[in-house]
Amino acid sequence: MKPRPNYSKIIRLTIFMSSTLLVTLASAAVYNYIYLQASPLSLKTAKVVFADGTDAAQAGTNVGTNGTYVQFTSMSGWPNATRIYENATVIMNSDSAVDFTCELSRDSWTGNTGSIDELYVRIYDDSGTPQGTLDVKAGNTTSFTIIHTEVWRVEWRIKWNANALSTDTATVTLALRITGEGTSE
Amino acid sequence: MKTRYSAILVLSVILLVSLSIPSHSHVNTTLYGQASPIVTEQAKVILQQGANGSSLVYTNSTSAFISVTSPLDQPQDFDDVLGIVNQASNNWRTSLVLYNSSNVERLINATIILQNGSNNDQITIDNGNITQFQGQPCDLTANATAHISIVNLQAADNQTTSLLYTYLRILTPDTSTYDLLAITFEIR
Repeated sequence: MKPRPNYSKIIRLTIFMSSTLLVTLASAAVYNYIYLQASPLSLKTAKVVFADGTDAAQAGTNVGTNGTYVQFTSMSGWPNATRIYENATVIMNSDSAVDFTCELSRDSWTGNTGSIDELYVRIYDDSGTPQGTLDVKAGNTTSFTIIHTEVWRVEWRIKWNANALSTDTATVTLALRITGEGTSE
Repeated sequence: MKTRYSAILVLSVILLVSLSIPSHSHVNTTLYGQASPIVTEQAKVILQQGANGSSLVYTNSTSAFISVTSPLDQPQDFDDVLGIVNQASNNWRTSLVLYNSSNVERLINATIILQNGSNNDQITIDNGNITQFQGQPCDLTANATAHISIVNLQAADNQTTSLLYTYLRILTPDTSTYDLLAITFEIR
């Protein structure tokens, strides 16, 4: 007589094996690596850079090494009056042939910002024509295309309101995004 | 059936090709500029009430409203309708700039001048036309006071009011950094 299979035992064994398999899969993820290589990562001289404007002394303009950063440390204003730095810094496009599209936007805006009625940053081309205006309070964005070999000035216009206190301060950081620089080198 | 397979094959190819096209192919570089801190300070040049006409100097003494009544029969001068006081030990260059106006057609004559020891014409109206919108900058020396006057003022009627919206431009010498103080002239 043929022995009868012990179904109960088989089922228990199957459940045990399945559980073991699940635990193994859960605790041992399978990885595949694929690789990306950038070689060489080279440093290029920036084509579009900042430089001192003619009002650099008044605005406290400090251009960083390589001209890729600028800080203004002496900007101020009188309550209920408008302070204008017509030429706080300049933007230079040193490329001999390529015009670059730039987008200026507000990156951060902190401090007693409610005490400032107006804060505009305007870009003027070589001929003195406005090419873009950034309303810092509104937080908008302005775009312009800087022509090759040209030097454009940046004007800051600040108006503190009548109730501004002598202790009020604000800090604004702007981002200038340049499209296309580095693609033709 | 064959047509269906062909269609699926074509669609698959289109999908694969479109997936291979990058959605953002621009190379961007971002530079940063920061103004820190931007501070407020006490005004170094302030406005003060003049000896003639009616002037209202607002809080902080950095804006003002001047009101005068124009004669009809003959021109009249209004000396010192507003004072400009330099509270600092450094010099400035000042001028007036007209940026807006209303109902100037009724003014036969009006000249707004800056007086700093000499007279400097800034804004001129002749037979209802604005013939000069801005004057040459003149010196405001350390701790000195200059004055704004309206000379040769005459209107064609006394039924209406003319308004001149100006800025007093206070320039740091040898720079293009300046402050604008709002001054409104009401000529009744």
